[in-house]
Amino acid sequence: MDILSNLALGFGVAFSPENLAYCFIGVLLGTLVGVLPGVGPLVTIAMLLPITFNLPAVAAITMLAGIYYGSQYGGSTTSILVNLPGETASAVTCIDGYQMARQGRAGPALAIAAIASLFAGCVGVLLIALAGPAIAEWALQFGAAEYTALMLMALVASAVISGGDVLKGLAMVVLGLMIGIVGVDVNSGMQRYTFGVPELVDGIGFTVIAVGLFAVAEIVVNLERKDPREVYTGKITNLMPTRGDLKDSAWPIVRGTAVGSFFGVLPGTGPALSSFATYLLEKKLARDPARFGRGAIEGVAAPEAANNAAAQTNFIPMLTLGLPASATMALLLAAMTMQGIEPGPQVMLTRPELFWGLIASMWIGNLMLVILNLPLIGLWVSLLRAPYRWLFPSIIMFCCIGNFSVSNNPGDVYLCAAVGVLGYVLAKLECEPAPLILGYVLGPLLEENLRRALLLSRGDPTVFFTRPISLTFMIATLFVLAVVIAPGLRKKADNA
Amino acid sequence: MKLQVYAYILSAAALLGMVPTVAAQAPYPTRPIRFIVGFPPGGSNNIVARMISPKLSEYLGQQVVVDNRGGANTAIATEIAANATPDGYTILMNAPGHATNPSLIKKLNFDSIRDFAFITQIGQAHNLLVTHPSFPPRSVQELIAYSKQRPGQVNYGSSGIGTSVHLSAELFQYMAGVKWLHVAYKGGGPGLVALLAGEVSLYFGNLPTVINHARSGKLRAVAVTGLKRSPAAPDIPTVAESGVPGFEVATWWGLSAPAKTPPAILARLHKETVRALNDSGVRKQLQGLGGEIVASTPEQYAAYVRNEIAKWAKVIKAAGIKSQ
Repeated sequence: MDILSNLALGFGVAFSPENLAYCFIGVLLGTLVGVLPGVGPLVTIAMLLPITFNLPAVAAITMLAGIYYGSQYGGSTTSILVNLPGETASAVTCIDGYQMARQGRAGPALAIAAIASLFAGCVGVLLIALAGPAIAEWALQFGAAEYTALMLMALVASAVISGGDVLKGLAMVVLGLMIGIVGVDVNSGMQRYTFGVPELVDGIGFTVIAVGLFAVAEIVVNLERKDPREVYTGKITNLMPTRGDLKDSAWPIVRGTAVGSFFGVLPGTGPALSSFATYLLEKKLARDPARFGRGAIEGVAAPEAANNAAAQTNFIPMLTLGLPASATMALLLAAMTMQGIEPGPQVMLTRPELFWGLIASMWIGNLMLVILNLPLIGLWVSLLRAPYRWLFPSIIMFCCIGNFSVSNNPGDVYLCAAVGVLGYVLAKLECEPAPLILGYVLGPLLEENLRRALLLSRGDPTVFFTRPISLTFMIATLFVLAVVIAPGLRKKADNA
Repeated sequence: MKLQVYAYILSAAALLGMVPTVAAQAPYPTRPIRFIVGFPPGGSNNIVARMISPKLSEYLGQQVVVDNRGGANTAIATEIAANATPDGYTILMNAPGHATNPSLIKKLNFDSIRDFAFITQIGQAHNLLVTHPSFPPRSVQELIAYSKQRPGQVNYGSSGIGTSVHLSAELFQYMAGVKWLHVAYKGGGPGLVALLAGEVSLYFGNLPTVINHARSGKLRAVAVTGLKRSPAAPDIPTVAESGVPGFEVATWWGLSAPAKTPPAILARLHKETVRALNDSGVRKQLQGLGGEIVASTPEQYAAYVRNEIAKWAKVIKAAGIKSQ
């Protein structure tokens, strides 16, 4: 296989004026919907799908793909500026990104997010081009037992994410887990904690939780402050990251890219989990973990790299095996089918212009996104100068629109308000929302896979230790547990 | 094509201009129509709805706006439609959940038959029984014999409880007298991945999503769930002809309105929907989804839904799937 000639073919296709234009429309739309919470790539692609029937296949797929990875860029913007996660995967970016903004460093935070995304996106695309099929085959080895072990490892590692009190952190994880299992149980079809309310049958949405806990709660906390409002604007230093910032972010970006690429390939995990995982990793590796949660630039760079890398490698199972790794990918798959392209391993051979054209367009698209986003930083930051009496109602309005638009359900808006109150109470109790979100995401996945693994093994728990990948994760879990517990014990000994 | 659209817009505009002088009561429709879909964007229901709605808008001279109200396997959307004013400005997309929910959900705030006026069955698609290549049985007969020797040992995957993938397998077990172990996944993607990886042995997948894997040898196609062979894969036998006579499972899409919608409006909606379904573009797009146009009469469609409800009530009871 001659990769160079394939890429030449791809760039030839992608650089046609028509395809360039559709790529640009895609990433522009993606950036816009990424900024709005709730209105995500899934909804946008679903709405635009019928329009694309009349477009040539390459243009259609290029544009729809652009919306998806473009939204990962936009998602970080509101997370950093106003603690409002625009996209599922950007919830983690809120933790340090928003703190950076409060310190007047919104510009560097936004810039590093864009740079990290560009790097990760390009590497992700390179992976698709070089080793797509091999990676996809490898990902198939992840069965229920492997997922269980992986989730267990992530959950144990999450003890690290909580800033201070381990007990409070654990309580938050459990609370998140309980919220996560509301709805129909995948394995048995039983409803849990739905109280006969049909709206709860499919569970409580991620947007409701993330927007409520981060954005709404933050506003309530701010309103309570008697002292003249915190003015970030006076402190705004420079818009671009300093040399030191870049140096601090370089390795986190590389590691974030690696973690994100890994999770992106696994069906059902995707960008959200990858940004959490990489955040945990950075916090553990940092010389001074206390900086995390207080505006550490690594805490923005790594998750943003991870979610963008995952957004790209998410395409691998879809393009090479015809398997959707997420709902958005399922939609893209439908778009291809309806264009008369039979998805599956043969796409690379039968429609090389589509496959390589898409790959080339992704590189171009990622570059467009940075060019599009960097000049916007000044504009975004200047929005922070708006007085709170304008800013807060606008944020709340976006929260409402976002929550409503996920399933056109007014109940979700009320629910989000309730979660906002919960977030306020948690803030008063000095409990961090991050472990709660992690529990919410991981808990149901862990439960689902654990029960499935035991169902398949007919109740034999040794299955987790006899499969090599699962065993590896189990050993790693024990290692993480030891690392987490050891310093805690030492601290106790010191205090005694 | 474009010219036609303009012609319609122009004629609609002309009509609108005439309305106040000609009649006190304007002809239906005078304002946009809400088209409720019981699934979030994504998935075939949404695609089918958005395929038809531009055509319907064109023919009716009013916007037909798709309103996605996902949740509870269409029960949320269906309840909204059941309670809507029956004036022709609310229409509902029906899916198999319309027929299975009465057996799966204990407390429904509507009656799947009484509360609706059925307009037409839009179309249907069938599933394809595929197995992992390492699984020994190659035909329906071999599968039945193999399963009878190993009760409860064969694992089958599904895209979730109550989905057509799940119910196909339950109907098969019920009719063939075999017992398998159900492993549910969250959606069609993960279910198919599990089959490709060999975690489960068999799967009744939506035909277009699995046929290529069968063609490339990563899966083995055994039989289709239609009564007749699929035009997309005429070489694959049906389950019915391979030893389980009468076996049929279809994923279907249909159009209904609240029960007391005036007959004249229902007739108009039926006429324009069938006209939209006869459009060659719509036909081709539905084929892309592995489906075929049905475009039945209101009576045929109502009978179809009644039949489906009765059929699944029996299977769901026999399978011991608990109603909530």
